[in-house]
Amino acid sequence: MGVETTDRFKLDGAGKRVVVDPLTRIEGHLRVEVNLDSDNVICNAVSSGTMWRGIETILRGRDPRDAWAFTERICGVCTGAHALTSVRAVENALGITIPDNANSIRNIMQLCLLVHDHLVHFYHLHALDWVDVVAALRPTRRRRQCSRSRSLPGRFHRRDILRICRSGLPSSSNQGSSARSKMPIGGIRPTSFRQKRT
Amino acid sequence: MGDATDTFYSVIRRQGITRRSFHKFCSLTAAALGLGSPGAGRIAEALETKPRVPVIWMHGLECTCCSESFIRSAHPLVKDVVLSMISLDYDDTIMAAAGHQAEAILEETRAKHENQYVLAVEGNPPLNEGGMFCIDGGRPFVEKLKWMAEASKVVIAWGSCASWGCVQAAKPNPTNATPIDKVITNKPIIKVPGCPPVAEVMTGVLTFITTFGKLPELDRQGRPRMFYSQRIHDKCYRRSHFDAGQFVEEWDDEAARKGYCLYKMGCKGPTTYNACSAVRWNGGISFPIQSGHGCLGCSEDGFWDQGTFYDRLTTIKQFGIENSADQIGIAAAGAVGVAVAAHAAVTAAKRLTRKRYGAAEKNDRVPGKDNDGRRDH
Repeated sequence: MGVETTDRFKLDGAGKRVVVDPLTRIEGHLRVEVNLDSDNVICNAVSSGTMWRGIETILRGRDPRDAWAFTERICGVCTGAHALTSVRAVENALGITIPDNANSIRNIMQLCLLVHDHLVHFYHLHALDWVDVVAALRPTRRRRQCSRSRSLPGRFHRRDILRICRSGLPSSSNQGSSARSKMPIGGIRPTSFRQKRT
Repeated sequence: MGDATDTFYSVIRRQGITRRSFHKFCSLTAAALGLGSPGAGRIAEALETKPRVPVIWMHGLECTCCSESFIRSAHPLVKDVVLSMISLDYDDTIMAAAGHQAEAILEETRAKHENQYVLAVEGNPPLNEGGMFCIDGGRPFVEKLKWMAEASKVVIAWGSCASWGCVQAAKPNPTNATPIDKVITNKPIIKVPGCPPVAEVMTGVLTFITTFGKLPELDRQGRPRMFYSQRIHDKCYRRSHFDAGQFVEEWDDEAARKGYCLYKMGCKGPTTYNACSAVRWNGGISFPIQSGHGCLGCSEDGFWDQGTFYDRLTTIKQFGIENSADQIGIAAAGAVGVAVAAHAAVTAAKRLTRKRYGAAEKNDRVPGKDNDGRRDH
């Protein structure tokens, strides 16, 4: 079996084929397909967006002043960035220069979006790869102190946290032993790393 | 994300939340829904006794702005809604599972909670090319949507996409994006339009459905009356400038600095039914007009194709501030009714006089004598 996608990527059934569809916690719809060889190494990977709305077609022939609102709807997670680039594109096309104050306001808005998008992306979308929410919600004392799941690679042990308390912040870690100063973030490192090395 | 047979109350108690906080939550929610203090008691009772409602949140052609809005709800906090009040079993955007695990959840919910779960739809299905413009889990979204809707209890149409079609349905609508009520015809659908809808409106609707087990009162377009019965214009804080004839004539003129009415700059507030000017956004901080830009009218059907957003509305109707769309409709219908009745009365009167006239004529005629034959025509 061998199929070529419209972007000239090859899909085939070589090795072990793993398909993730739908890929969640993103805007829109995405399908990811990989092939693993006998050593469990990815030898082919193809991702495809499985949704098309044609906003570029819809925009054709519209009033340029309205373009930002259409473009903004490309993504509801990072709206402002699309709107701003659309406004800039229109201004470039029409040779419009904007005053410094306007530019400053735009920069402030863009940076606010950056901060808020970072929070949304990390806590609502990305965090679920690192935190087991269901376990975190169970109110046993131990789990309240340290939410973790054995299936996740980046977990921290309670003793790591105790060690942070003892060794202090990174700025104070240079007072400790040389071995500890090489460790990341104030002398701790994820358990799984330590298990591999020793 | 949890067992759907638990009640909201048992879940939050397990999380260590006190009974006092629970009642505070109930009264805040009741206030947000406009139900007053008796409403708080009813909400508390329902949340203590009824099992949590499973919710499936599906995404079609959309931009996720509805989800983004939803997660910013302040009253009630979205964490209370998602983690305790409902059992959000499936949502592409914030669920941990992906791929076949995600698909399995859909099947499981469909089988286990048949005719019990709420299907919330964000975005709409494209119908061109057999629905190929939106594929989810290897199947056209339209098929998946119909399949999940079959076994649902009620369907919520989030945002303008699901309600009216929104940006992808703007001319020329290349994918033939279709609002969900054209595809799902046998289930009650509540429309929560807006691009995106106000966060508190979304959580408010969800709270109402999960608490009372039924849809809130809807207007004729299928929108919850509690949030969509008034125009932006009716509760706009710049309304006094409109009434006084003080308008912004140009961006950044003196009137714009003074915060005058944006009607002449293309504000669609006078024709838009939504809660923005009453509830406002981001925890009640602001809304577009307060930030100095006119309303785009994003909760109205086909707002993308009503000319540019900066054209002044030419057909503006002056109504009282507390009038709803339905009241205006009823008034209009009433006026039509009066006209019809008047017309009928006039016609009847005419007919009556004609009859009398005819009868008089008839009496004038002498039977058997030569008549002019008018009657026999």
